[in-house]
Amino acid sequence: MNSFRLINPGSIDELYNQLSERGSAGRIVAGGTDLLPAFKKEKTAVPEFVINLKSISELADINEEETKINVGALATHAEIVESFLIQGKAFVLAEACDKIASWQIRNLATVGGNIANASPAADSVPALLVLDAHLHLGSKNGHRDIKLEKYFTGPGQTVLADGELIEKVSFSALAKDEGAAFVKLGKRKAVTLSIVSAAAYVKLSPDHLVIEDVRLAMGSVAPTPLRIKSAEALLKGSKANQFDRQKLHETVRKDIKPIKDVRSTAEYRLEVSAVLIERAVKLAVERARTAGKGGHQ
Amino acid sequence: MDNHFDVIGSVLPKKDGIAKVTGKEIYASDVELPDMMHAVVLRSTVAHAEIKSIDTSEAEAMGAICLVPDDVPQVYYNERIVSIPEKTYRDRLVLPRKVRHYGEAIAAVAAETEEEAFAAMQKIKVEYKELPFYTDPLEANKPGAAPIYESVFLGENKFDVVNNVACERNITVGIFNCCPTCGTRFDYSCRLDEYHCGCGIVYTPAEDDGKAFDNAEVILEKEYDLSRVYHAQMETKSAVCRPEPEGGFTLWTTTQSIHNVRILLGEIFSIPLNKINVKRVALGGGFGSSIQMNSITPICTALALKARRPVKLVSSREEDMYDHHKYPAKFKFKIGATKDGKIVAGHLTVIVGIGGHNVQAYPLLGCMAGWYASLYKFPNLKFEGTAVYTNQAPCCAMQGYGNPQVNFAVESTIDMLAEELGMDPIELRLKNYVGLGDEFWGQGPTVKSTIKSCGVEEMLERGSKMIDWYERPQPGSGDGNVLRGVGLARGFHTSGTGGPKPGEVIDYSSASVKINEDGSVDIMTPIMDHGGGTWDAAVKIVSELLKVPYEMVSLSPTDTRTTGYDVNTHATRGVYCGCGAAYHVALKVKQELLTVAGQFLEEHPHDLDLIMDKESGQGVIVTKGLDCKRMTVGEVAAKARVLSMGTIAATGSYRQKNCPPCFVTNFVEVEVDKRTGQIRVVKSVTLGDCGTTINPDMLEGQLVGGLNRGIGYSTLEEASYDPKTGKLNCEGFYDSYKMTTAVEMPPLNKIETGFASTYEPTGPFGAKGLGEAAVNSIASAIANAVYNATGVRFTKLPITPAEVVAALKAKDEGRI
Ligand SMILES: Cc1cc2nc3c(=O)[nH]c(=O)nc-3n(C[C@H](O)[C@H](O)[C@H](O)COP(=O)(O)OP(=O)(O)OC[C@H]3O[C@@H](n4cnc5c(N)ncnc54)[C@H](O)[C@@H]3O)c2cc1C
Repeated sequence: MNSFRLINPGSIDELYNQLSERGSAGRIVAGGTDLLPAFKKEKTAVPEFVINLKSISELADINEEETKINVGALATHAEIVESFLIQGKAFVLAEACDKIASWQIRNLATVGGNIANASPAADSVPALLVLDAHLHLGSKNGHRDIKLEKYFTGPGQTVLADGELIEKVSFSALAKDEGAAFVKLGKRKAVTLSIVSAAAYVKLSPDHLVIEDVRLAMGSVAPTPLRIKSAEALLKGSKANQFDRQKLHETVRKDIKPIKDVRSTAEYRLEVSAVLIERAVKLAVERARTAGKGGHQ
Repeated sequence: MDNHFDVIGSVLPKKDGIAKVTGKEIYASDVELPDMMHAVVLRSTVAHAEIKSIDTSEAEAMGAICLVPDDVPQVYYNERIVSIPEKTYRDRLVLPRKVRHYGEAIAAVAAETEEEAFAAMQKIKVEYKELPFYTDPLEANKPGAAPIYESVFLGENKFDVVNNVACERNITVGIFNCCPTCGTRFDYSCRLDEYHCGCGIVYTPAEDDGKAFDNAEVILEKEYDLSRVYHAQMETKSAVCRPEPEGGFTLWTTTQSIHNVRILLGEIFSIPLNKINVKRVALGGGFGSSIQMNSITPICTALALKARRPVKLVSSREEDMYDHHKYPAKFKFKIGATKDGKIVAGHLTVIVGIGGHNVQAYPLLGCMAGWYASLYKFPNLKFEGTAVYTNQAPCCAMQGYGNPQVNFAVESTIDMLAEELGMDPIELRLKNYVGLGDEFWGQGPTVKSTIKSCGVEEMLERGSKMIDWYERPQPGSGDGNVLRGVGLARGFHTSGTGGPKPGEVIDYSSASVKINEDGSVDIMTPIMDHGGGTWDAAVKIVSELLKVPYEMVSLSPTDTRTTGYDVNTHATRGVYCGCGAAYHVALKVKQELLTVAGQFLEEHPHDLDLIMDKESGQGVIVTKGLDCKRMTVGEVAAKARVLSMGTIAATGSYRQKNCPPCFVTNFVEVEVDKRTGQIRVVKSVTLGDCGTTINPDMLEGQLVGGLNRGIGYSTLEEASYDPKTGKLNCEGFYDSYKMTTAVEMPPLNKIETGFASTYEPTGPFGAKGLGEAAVNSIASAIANAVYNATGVRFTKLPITPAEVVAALKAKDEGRI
């Protein structure tokens, strides 16, 4: 492994200065759980400077502004899993982060890194997609907000500009009659990347019989994590406990473009995707029904 | 039979337990020496190539010591010297002139720190002339395939390698090796295309089974395919070598046999053995991967000798994954039986892709034949095995040494046969199993013995109750999305490689036992402990025999200088053979002790006995029958010292004259998620027959560990290669080589274990082995359970969710 210089900026301003000054010679590190293995395996060129975010503690905040929840890019998966706020009002994110890697890695790895790394298998992303999350990006030149859905352009590729970073991710807290869930299928149950992952958000009619609104997202079935929009259209307005499985199957298949990789085959992914969507929707519906009654939402 | 044991069978703290849980235990990679250099290995980035040149000038300019093929002795060796020399294939040098697999070590570098060594290593320039490479034995075996070797040695004889075949083995029993017309026997030890019998007939033994299946009313022919997997022992291979001022060197290394490492290094470096000392250090698991001398050990030695300084070399996990795998296997199995379930004949053919070096393919094929011949009684039996070189990591023994592979083929087929015959699988097994009084092939066709203890029936009966066998569903009868099924398989392993005749495999062990001046005891043993409690067994056996409490018996730190020879802690021989030697030496010490005590007590030694006095914490010598005179072992030893009578001690070597099978029976219950293809083992009943249970808790650990590895083997693990690059598809554990963790196991209360109530008359206190047996039939049981759940037979391991989904879909659509 080639050596690099580690820069520990003392403030957010210094961070932005460093980022703009180092340009392409610099690279952000947060938990390092994606970056360092990529260096070691020579999948990523080792830059001259590695700029450490971990000293900027304000980027790790998890807070609530009215009905909006902000999760700082540096929040670790462990912090998200343990946050009462997330558990209570956006359980699906805690659920997804809890399924990432192992305790040791969740203690280090950040949600910002998970998003920025732009792996199709990033587990927090389908959860955030169904929460309709926005990213708050910052750079020396200012800030901009962008829908998470618009952030990814390909595997490992994003719209992030040079000198820019993710400061936080925001979304609305779930309300009455709303529920969401994340499910994943890996080679085994723990410390495993997703072969396929799926998240669902539903809003039920007040009598809980009809799906009034729905968002679906998947990981590991296309070059980026993505929303499954035609399946959303299919489910919207349908009965909450009775939807056409066969049709869902066909529809989901059309929205995804899985490939064969070390973890599984394209055909398998095509077969199980709708199963996962179905399971996520069922769980989400259940949660929407018990919302506010002590259950997870 | 003595069932009143004082320590045998008790759960006692492991002697190395505190050191291990507090991180104080010393493994090879923990050894730190003054003035020590650190080494790294340069590994090939191509799968098959001539090395045209290696330029180390830049690395040397950085102050590093470099080792290239020209620097090492040009001695062809086989890293495993367990077989007799005439049956040992030699194809490798310490550093090769030709690369035979991706990741093969081709040069090494030592520097002041590991970082510096790494930086220097990156400056080495290698020029390759690349050659076509093979990751499939069937491709490598084709006429015209690029030769991975031109020639290799068998014993002292050099022979040409044809079609990349490393070795073959053909074994027949019964009428297979007879002329189908006149019945004359012929020699089928080498594969004949044509056999011209004296009676005039021309016969093709490879294709024709002659009359062997004539009496069969049911014949099944099936094919099986088992993947390569990685040992994944906890400790990656490490070595520290210190050249000694008076010549020779001292070595701390990862190994299952300190003596074999010493002998090999003596041969390679032409150094007399009294100048080489290999230290026994703790071993972080092996699963068979350190039976042979590890590839890095002579590299580290050569570097240290060149640098004239101590050198440490520790493999990374990624490197270790290119160093050794389990043998994959492709089987064809034909079995014939009568309608009432008597097996008439079997014909098993196997092709094994062994990777870039022939570590032990010849004994492997022999053992595969033996495992097959010893599972059921085949009056007529034929085995044809072919080992083919491929451009992959060299394969070597891994827990079971061909047994899990063979077991999968045979136990799956037996299940199918039972169904075909309309017979309960237990009944069919009971009708045909090899048991008490039968011949057992403990290590291929040349190491055999007669079975003297057998818990097969007991375990089948007990296990069937524990799993509700007779309540299991009809195959594939479940509906809904989660299908439940119960499966059974039985297996065994050998306990060591002893036997009435030595055969092709070397087997004996040594020990020294001495009574200290306070009545405590020191044991010096060369045997290695993989972590399964072999050392504790040695302590318990000596403690039991001398009636000196467990706490008062210790293992001395040893090395090759202070111990007699032991072949290896392999072949499930640690307790039966290794501790067997300690048992026999302790018997001599007991005799000596009673003799000395007899002088003090004025009694004939025959009239004295030993008892364990737990209150005083001493062994006590008492008069037989009536306890009227007594002296503690400590008092005897102390008095012997004061009277200058000498130390009560003995040393010796011992060979076990048997290789008793340790049987296992596995019942598992699985759930198959029809829609995702995931297989979950939800309950396991594992019964073991290891004779007397010396370390019951450790034995249970072995069974549960075997279950864990067996689940991985059957549903998860695969060290697959990219045929385009010749690289492993996985990159370490991080990426995609996944193994079963605790959460994939059945819940704790659904993991049931038990032991047969048997006693092995030839073993120390009635004990035989268990370790490898623990894994041998797990995959078979799981596959049989998956069949019971789904009605679909899977004959390829691992059974992946993708294959399950595809097969169940095909079944639903009526395609299979
Ligand atoms: C053994 C193992 C198992 C794993 N299992 C899983 C799993 O099950 N599911 C899963 O989703 N992931 C898994 N991962 C991947 C990884 O842990 C996660 O993606 C993690 O969230 C990355 O966060 P990090 O803080 O470590 O990122 P880093 O490695 O520090 O950074 C990753 C990338 O993002 C960039 N970056 C980091 N922070 C920011 C920011 N705020 N703004 C802009 N760019 C930024 C970095 O420059 C780098 O390119 C696993 C990793 C390992 C080693």
